[in-house]
Amino acid sequence: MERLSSRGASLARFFRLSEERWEGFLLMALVVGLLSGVLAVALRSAVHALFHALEPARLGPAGILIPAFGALIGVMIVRDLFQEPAGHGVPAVIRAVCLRGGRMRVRAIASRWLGSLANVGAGGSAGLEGPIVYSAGALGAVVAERFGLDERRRSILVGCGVAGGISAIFNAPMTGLIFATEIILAEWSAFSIVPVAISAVAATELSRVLLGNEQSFLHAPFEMGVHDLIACIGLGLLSGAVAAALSSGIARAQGIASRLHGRFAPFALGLGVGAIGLAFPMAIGEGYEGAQAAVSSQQDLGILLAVGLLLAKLVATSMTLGSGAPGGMFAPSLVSGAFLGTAFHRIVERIQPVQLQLASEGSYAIVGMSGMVAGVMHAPLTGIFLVMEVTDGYDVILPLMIVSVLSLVVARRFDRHSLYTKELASSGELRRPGTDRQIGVDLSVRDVLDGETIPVHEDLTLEELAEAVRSSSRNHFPVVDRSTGALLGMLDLARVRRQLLDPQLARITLVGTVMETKLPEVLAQAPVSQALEAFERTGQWVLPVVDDEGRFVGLISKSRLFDHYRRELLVQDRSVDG
Amino acid sequence: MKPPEFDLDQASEFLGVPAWTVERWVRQGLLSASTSSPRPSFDRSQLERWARRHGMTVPGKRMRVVRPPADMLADALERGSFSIATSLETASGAIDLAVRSLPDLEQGVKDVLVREVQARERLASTAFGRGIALPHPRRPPSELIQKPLASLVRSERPLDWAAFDAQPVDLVLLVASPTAVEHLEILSRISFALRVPEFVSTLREATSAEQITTRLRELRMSS
Repeated sequence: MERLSSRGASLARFFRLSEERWEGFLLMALVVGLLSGVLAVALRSAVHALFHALEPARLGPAGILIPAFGALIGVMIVRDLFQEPAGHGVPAVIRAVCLRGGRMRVRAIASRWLGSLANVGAGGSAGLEGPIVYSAGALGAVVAERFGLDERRRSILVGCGVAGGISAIFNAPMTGLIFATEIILAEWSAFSIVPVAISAVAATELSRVLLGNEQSFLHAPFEMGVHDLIACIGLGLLSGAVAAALSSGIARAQGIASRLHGRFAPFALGLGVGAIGLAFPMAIGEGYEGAQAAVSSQQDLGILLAVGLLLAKLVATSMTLGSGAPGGMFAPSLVSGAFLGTAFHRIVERIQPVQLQLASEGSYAIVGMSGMVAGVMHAPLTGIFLVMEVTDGYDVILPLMIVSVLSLVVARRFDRHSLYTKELASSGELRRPGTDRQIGVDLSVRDVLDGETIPVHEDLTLEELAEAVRSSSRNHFPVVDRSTGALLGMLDLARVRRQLLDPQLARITLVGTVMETKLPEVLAQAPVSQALEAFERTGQWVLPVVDDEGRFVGLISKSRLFDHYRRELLVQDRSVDG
Repeated sequence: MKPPEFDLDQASEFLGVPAWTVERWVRQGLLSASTSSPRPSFDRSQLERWARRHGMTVPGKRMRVVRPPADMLADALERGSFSIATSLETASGAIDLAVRSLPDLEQGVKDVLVREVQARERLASTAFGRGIALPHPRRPPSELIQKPLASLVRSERPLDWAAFDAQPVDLVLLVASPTAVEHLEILSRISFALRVPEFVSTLREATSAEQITTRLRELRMSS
């Protein structure tokens, strides 16, 4: 580790990097963008090759076993080979940025990359975006660590990796930029947007050079009229509900998986995915071929078939992602959104009272995609830009916007947090640096403790107390037991001043009689947010602090706390650039 | 029926911040106020929700601070007792009598109080000087009594109380307060009253508790 950081320092010298210089940092963003592009293009090509190579076997008699083994191997790669927790990766990147100053491990670059190759390549219903976000984000973190960057720049380089990965895999630079900013960094300032944009451009261009500049989804031109816009209101509300259903389906499958024995869970749920694949081959794997069919209005006919395909995709995705197999939510959201849009279009055509000429099925499939992305990820901008870029669908920008925002509104009614942030929020870890909540948890009572107090005993008279504390400039004294050292109460000189100054009273009044005993004690290892809460509740200015065995260790005062609080806030302040 | 409302001053008191801070919050759009009249007013329950959402503790939830009334000693004496003893021989006997003559207390509570006060006396004398002693329990007996009680015993035979001025004690004023704050308040009131020579004479001459409390209420705390 030491060797590593000294090499980092010399690398930094080589590039003449310093805290204040921006150029070197932007150069790093470029490098991270190119490397993430390579990771993304390689993963995508490998998964496609594997998926197609296994296609005949999957349609054969033992076909349902293939996704099951894929999920199992994927989980084993992540958990056993790389010793990393399961899950789809994006929450882990958000946690790294929120809580660890963007620090990620080197092995994180490879673990989900390989795991998702096995899982999705075999037919698991999941996307590659989650794994690439994780892998490329870790790449950014590792580069930042090598160059000895501070936590702010390290987090931004994680964002650069994420943006590069997303941009390259979709051939969509705006989406990469928006996703990294909206979901990962949650920060909109030039200081972070400039490097992230550079990375997005580099990665996209690299993927264009390697794979050609192809739009992901081709479609015939179309035009949406006023009545289409009105229909889109319905589609927006519906996609919010479907997005919420997908989230709860994944949660339910997670519940089932946690009850199944260890390795059996991904295998068993993978079998289910394989079975669905036999009936609806379009519903498993990354699934973009199905989405392409929907977008170009070439999905097989029939309302029931369209609804069935949508349900099959939702169930298969819940099983794959709920089993803990490595894979992302982008692709399933896009694909199920395309199926949803198609089904919605067919239903509306059938039941509409007056015969209006609706735009083509494909246009509704596109709009449905953005609705699902916005609803599942709680990210309206990502939903709008992603779909606009991958379909070259600026024609449908108005319905895209309507559906994305409505979907988010509905999805939030079901769940305040997205799948990405739900876990973090429930464990109280969704805190962005520099916010009150973050500082309230970062600082512990121990950090602001005043340990240099003069303990007094309860059998002293006030007269003796005056003598004992004559040289102290403090006003608050802990009263502790002579033999055990346990805290009995607190004495505030201000409160006994009149008695202290009256020699006769001071002679007959014991500390133990007039000390304050009802004060709440604050634990030394507790976060200061708890102390603040106790100050607020009691109206006190000073409270006693005890260790976990109830022994008095010092005092915490409001004034000292705010002094430290402000210092911490200045350190964490994100508006200071460079 | 209109919902209960606060004006600016009430809202300021409720939130525990100056009125101009409340005004600034309203101006910055952080806090919403009804501006149907020229003076802003606040919906009470809405204000409470707002305060809670921002992690503030509203007054009802804060720990109650005991505010002593004007003459806590006179009140305590009125709730307590006054006895004149002819046959007392020891300080401990005087303490026992002082506690036992308190009205409206259960026998068990009195037993505990006697023990507590005797224990305190053993730690150090509570003689105040000039023939007066102020016995009291070592810790405020918050679980035994709800309000401060005082019991005055005048002994015709002066008792030895290990006083620093070596004077025997004939006036025993027992004080029991449920909280330290009340105890401190009563102590300062006693100290003040005992500096007035006429009041000390009243204590030595009175034949009823009323004479003492009336005289006590006439004494104004001066700075």
